[in-house]
Amino acid sequence: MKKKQYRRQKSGFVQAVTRFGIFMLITLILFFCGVSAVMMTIAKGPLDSAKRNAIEKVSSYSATRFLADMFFTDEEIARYTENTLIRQQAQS
Amino acid sequence: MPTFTAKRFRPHPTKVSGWKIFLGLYIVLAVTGIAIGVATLNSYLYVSEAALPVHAMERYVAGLSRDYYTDMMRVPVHQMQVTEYETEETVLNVLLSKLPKKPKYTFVQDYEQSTEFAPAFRVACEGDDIALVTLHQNGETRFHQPVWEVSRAVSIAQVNLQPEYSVSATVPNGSALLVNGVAVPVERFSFEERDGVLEDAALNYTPEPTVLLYEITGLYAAPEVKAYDLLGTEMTPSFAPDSEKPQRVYVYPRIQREKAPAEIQSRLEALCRTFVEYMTMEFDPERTAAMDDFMIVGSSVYQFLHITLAADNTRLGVLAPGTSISGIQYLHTQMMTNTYCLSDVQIGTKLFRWSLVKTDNVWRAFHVELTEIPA
Repeated sequence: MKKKQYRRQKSGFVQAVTRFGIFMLITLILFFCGVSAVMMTIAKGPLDSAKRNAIEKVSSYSATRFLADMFFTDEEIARYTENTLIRQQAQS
Repeated sequence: MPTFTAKRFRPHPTKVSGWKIFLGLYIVLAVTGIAIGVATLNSYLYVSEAALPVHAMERYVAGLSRDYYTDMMRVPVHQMQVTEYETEETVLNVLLSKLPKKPKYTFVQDYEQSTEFAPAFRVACEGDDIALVTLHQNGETRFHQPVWEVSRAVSIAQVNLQPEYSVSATVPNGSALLVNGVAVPVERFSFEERDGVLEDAALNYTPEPTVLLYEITGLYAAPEVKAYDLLGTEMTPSFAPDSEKPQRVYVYPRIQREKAPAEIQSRLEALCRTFVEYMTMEFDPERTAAMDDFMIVGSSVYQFLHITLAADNTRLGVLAPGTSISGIQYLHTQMMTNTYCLSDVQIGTKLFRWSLVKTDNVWRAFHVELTEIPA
């Protein structure tokens, strides 16, 4: 009887951990989908300044740089990065 | 009697746990939130893009025509030094003639002149900057995005045009020269000349040049040059430049008139009548005195008649026997100046070229040339 109770307690803990893991996994997936949707909207959108800002922000961190590679072409990255450099030089 | 319940018909009913419901709702809400967020972001991007000053400038530039170029060029053209023979419109027309029918306007932002609330753009026509356009905010659209409108356009145009044309016109004295419809003042004639010994002789009696040269430079367009003689008749140039040459050289010869102006013609006819009588009749002091009235005392014609032809035997042999007044033919007259003319008169078989000058308001002869007309 005790053994059964222990098993039931153990399975309840595992179930909670499992559910938390599933929740976190889904949250991460949703977060990634959200970020990807935002990046894709910006990449396909008409606003150059938004593209430039997105590339700047994303490229600032090595962990997020892949997003720029995913949604922007090499030409766009080079162009907006170059424009940013020119503007910074002009301002300085 | 058995009782029928729902459980009886579902021997293995599906038990949906609260966790699954929560997870489903969580995913649905999250996806919906993402969708709404992305849609809003997309709208924001398009509204922001449409609200950029660049697009206001694109609409502005798309509506520009040749008149805009003209308006902007008026400012620098007004500051140019244009001769009195041309107007600002002349220069503008020259500029417009070099412009395509549909000129290409471009613009670029002038960051030095721009502020956050008044972006400025340099508008160029065919590559040359002509205007500095400043925008101002006029209201808001969605997401509090500004609506931009052109507040003012200032001309920054420069005229890259050099005067290419010049006029050099030789006209008889007394003529009126018009360049583009503007009369050239007499005092502007920079050069005077006389051609021939006869005109040098006329200088003794009428101190006016017979031929004037006028030179004008600094014209931007091919000028329209016209000349009118003393009596207002338009003269035809004996030499006119090619239409493409920027150096416009004109030479206007005198107009040969069959009849001189009335004042001269009546005096000439009286002179010739008296002359024929003097030459065909025996010596008479009254006729000699009458003849003297038509001559300048001491002139070559005076000496010719008084010394060379004083005696009857020499004088009566000049004209053919039987010559009368009815045989006088007035050929033509050239007005050399206002006070100097040459008149060709045929008497019998001889051609007389009378040189007349106006002294003391009376026309008198100072020289005559006799030529035998070949049969």
